[in-house]
Amino acid sequence: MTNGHEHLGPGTAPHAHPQEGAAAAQGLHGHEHRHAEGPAHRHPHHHRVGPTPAAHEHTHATTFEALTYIISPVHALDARAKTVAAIVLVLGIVLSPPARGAEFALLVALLAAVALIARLPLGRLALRSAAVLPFAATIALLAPLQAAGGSWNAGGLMAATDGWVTAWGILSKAWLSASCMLLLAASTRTADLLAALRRLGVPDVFVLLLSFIARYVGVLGDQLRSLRTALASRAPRLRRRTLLHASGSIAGNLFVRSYERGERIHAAMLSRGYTGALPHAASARIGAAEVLSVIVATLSALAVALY
Amino acid sequence: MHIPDGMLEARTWIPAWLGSAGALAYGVRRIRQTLTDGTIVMMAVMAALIFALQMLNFPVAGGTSGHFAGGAAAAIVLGLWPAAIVMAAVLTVQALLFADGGITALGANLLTMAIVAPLVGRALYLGITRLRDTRGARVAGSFAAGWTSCVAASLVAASLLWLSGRAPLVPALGVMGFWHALIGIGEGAITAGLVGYLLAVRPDLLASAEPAPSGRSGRLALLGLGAIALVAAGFSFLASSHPDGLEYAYERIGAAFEDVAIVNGPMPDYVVPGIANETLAGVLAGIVGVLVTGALAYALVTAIRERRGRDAE
Repeated sequence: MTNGHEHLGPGTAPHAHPQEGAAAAQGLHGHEHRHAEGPAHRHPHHHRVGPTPAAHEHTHATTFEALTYIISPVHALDARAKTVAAIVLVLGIVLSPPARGAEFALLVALLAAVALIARLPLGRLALRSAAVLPFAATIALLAPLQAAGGSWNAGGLMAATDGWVTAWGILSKAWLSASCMLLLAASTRTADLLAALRRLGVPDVFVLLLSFIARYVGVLGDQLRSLRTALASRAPRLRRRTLLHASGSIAGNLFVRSYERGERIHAAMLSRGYTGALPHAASARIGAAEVLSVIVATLSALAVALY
Repeated sequence: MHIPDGMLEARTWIPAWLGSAGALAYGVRRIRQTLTDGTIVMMAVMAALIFALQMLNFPVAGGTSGHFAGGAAAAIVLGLWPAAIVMAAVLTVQALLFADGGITALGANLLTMAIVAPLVGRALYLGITRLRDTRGARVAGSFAAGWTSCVAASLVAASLLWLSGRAPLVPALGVMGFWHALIGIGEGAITAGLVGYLLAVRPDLLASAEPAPSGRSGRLALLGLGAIALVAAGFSFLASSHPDGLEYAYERIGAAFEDVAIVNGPMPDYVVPGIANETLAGVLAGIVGVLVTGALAYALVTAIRERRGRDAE
């Protein structure tokens, strides 16, 4: 989807480069810009090489992905450090006893501080991480019921303090962990995150699978959407059984298309010199900031888990 | 059904992680000889496809909806281990980029959706097509595979929740099983539709995932059903001797510290004969349960097949 945006670069008209800069603008470059709402960001891109390479639009696959292009100190951190910090923090949260008020407040403050430094919209992140709550709440509410001996008696349920502590533990841990991983996903470009996984020791083949999912799920999802739109516009009121059968045909159709797309992708990769491994830009910058962020995450995790 | 972080206890998620990682490593070794650049790229595109197909949602009951999971379908069209690896990649992306399913809970989610669902689905599909290799049998087998994979995965998830002391076993199995028996209808129907479409349009794609006609598939079917029976028997063993997971764990931990007291106490005389009988009864109940379920599934499939056969004439 294309969002309206304004450029923040010095002296450039929106959507266009000054003529003299056109040659330079053909390489990998980025300009700081801002969409209708949301913070300023920059993403690297190439221009089509041609007689008029100047005009172009800034598009993002999803609005969530746009967050990863924000310019902030958190976004600038090495992806490996962020990944390790997030996983350590999740481990601390999961292994801790049900959080007391102070620990919960500490974690919320820590995550909110990181989100603020990263210039991320707090409300949107909180809403998105709240998606874990319905399922977590269903299971969490079983705990007081179990503690009350399976009785629905309101007095018994209220008195089952242990059960409510367990329920709070499940809910708070699920939400905090999800927020933690979302913060990582929102402050790290997908390509950087996958490169970090590879350099942290995840096998190359598995990272290739992950990067293909990240790259093609939008394309295939769009195809699926247009197939469903076509079905809905031709047959708006199907019985449930017929609809399920038609959905199966849609799935089969998309399977055949994806298989053929896979063949084309592989041929294209071979013709560009693919030898079994994707190239990646090595940018090792483990500096003081990276070390510090991992240490802060580890200390917080230890504090929450052991205190 | 993606289990989030914080719901499972360490005694559940750590073994689940180790078990899933071990199974997937074994799977990679099994298919390593057949892996070329081309097949890897194809698996990668299929992983993106399964992720996209999970957007297919359908109404279930009471205004709620379920969505396609794809474990059985992937196992039918790609083969067991490629499907397991593809599903593992999908679940990993969901946990890492969308916080859908936890990081510590990823092992448990892999176990249910990347290992149990494809294994059960493929075993059932191959078992049924082995009995009768017609178009109708294949479509019916796909339906049965989709439905059973959905229910089996939900039962394993319920068992994991029970092992973590989150819910009593029988109600958890009952509620999860009932709900996913409904969702499974959608899963089965879409799986059947997908396979039916492929049979009509590109049967060569489906054939490429067929095992060589050497009796391997029959063994796989037996292995799958055997695994289900063992798991059921194991759980009923645990369930009959230890009605509550949390209690069971506390007893085990307590026993490590106080085994002198337990050996000297009056308990052994009282408990041991009781457990022996209950255990036997539990294991028998588990195996009988699997046999009954299998017989029902077979009867259902035969009935559907005959109806389809009549329709075709």
